[in-house]
Amino acid sequence: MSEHRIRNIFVQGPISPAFISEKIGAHASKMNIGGHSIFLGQVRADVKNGQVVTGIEYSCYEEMALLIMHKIRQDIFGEYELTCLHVYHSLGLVPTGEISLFVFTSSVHRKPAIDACAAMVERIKKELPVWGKELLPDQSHIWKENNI
Amino acid sequence: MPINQITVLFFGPLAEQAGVKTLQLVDQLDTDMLLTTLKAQYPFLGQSPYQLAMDLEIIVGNIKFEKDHTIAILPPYAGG
Repeated sequence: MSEHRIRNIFVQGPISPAFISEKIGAHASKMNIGGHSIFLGQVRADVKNGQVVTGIEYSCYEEMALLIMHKIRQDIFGEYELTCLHVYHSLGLVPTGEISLFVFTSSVHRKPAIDACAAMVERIKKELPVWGKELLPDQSHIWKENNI
Repeated sequence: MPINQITVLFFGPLAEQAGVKTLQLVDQLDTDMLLTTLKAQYPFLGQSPYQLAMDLEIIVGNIKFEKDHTIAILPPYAGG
């Protein structure tokens, strides 16, 4: 499947469970799909400087991120036999416990969906120009850095 | 008449430290010269990890400027 248009993956604020289930439901009409794999990234209540993180505020280099995501999508479609691939990433404030990343892959048989989903998550963490401020209760913050 | 106009974009912790998100500079010959100019005004760049992107693509090493360009200073990512 070739991708001709650049999709916007960014949503403002947390990704809601209702949004996720709506997207799952939207695939019910695609009768050749046998398996979906879903990854949800949730903001964790890490302890930093003796305080518990209350949320992460995400920002990005949007134009570049969308181009990179477009390229990663093309690569993943080339490597794995998928029927669909959807990625959503939050911008702005996502409170602890809420979802900031939703990767959703679908295939005729389960293995490509599972493998592609895992591969996509790794590439997002490594290659997407997105930054996050971990917010603390005393109004200070720490800039997050991915372990990749 | 300047030879070129370079738009510099800061992101994340680097934008916070610089106190600015966008700068316009003129008459820069290449990325080495640009970084020297920027470090003079923002010394923290000398100790901070970052990658550079030119016109939306990651670049490595010294790149000559042929025309106007947008240079982004990208601190370590935290997406996903």
